[in-house]
Amino acid sequence: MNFLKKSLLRRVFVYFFLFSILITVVVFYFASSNQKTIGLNVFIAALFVFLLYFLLVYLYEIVRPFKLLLQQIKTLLTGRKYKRFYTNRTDEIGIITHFFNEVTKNLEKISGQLKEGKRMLSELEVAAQIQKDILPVESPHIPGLDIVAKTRPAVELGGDNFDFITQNDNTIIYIGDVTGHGVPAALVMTLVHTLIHTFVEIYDNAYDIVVQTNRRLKTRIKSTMFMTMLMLRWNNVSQKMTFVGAGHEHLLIYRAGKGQCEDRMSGGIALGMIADNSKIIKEVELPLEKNDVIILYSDGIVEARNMSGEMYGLNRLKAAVELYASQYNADGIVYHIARDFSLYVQEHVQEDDVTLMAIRYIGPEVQAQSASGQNLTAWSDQAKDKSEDKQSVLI
Amino acid sequence: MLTLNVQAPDVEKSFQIFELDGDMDKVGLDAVKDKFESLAENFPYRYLVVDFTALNFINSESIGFLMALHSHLIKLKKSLIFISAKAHVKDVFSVIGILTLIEYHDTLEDFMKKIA
Repeated sequence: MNFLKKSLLRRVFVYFFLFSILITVVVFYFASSNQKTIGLNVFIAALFVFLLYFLLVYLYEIVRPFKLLLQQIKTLLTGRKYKRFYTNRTDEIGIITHFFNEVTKNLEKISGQLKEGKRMLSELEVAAQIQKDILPVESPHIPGLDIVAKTRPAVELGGDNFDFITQNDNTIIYIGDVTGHGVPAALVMTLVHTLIHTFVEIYDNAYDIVVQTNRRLKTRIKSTMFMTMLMLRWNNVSQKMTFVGAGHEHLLIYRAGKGQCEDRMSGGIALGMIADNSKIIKEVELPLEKNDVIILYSDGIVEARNMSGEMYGLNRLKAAVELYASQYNADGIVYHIARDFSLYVQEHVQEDDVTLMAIRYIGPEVQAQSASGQNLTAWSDQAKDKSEDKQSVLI
Repeated sequence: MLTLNVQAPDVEKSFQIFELDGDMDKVGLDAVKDKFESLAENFPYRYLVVDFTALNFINSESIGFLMALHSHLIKLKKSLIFISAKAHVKDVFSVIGILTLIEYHDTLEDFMKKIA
């Protein structure tokens, strides 16, 4: 019987077969009662019964289910609430019914996923805003320094971090880069940001801040994650700079007297790699002359590729520093290096977060021109501006 | 793209060399991660030697992966050894500070001499 249920034609055939049996019985009845002919009225009645029978079969078996199905398809297409059908039929109508049920089930699933995606996107936007709010909005006023930083995450949330925190006579300036980018990196970045702000209030040196941050971080992140960091401590009174490296990129120092850019290993080991980094890291003094410039950057700069797949690289960054550090203040240096970088990578997709910071030692008696609270730290697309001029950046 | 070639082990000296060929960026890491992890899961020899001769680039995520591998091998009382990295790759290792934790040799011969 299952064989017969699999096709509408077979089903019609069955009804026809049953009807044929009925006709055969009638003919047999007439034959057995020696009646050679049948009357016209009997013939018409038989024909009527025959047509009525097939009409009922056609309406009940084919038209009605199709009509119900089409009604629900129309309801679905107009966005109203539809119903699913449950049938044991395995013929064409059964197949279409099952198809309709599967399509609606998948549509509900996709619709649910879209709603969930929308919700997550909205939460991601909130998280991105929180992260933006964590980063300093503008360059700080630090006695003796002209300082500007810009950052741009590769996706909504980034793993690059920097901050300027003044506590008593010290200003802590740091740049950090968490492994990868996206939500996990952003969470670690936020955690480190909080730890540093806490320890800045407790310790008056960069060494202890980095050691304690590492100690707390190590127990809270998985073994594949770490954060590189370079922390500077500027004493606003003695006008002396020291630094602690934690596996970050090179520290670049433009020596104004020589017109050259030095690169110095930041040293140490990235935060979160080992439980105790106190024996590996150290706080080192960084002597500065007037107009010397310190450049801090994340690996997203030197590892960015152009359309030919070649990396921007440390040498190109140093060359850009040498070219612009002698001509511009911190704002201009960051602007021109960012522009040089953007022109190099062109339309190549940004694979990692990029952060760039320039700190010029301007001497105790000079007020920084660019550190006027107007240098927003978001990496602007003005870096792609083809024009050579940058207003009010000449020093 | 990155490929992982695993050489036949030196059972007598108890080490096996894993060669990495290509760029160890996000795509590259995803391509070799599962194979690397399954081979390292119950690594039977004393030293797992990663040969970086043909590796052109490594990103921080991949270094994180190697650090996790190092931690896993430490738990198994085995060692992760790095050999023959190109200047740029070695520079990245040095900058991050991973070479203070993981033994590095410029050549396979240097490593062989060390375990001889």
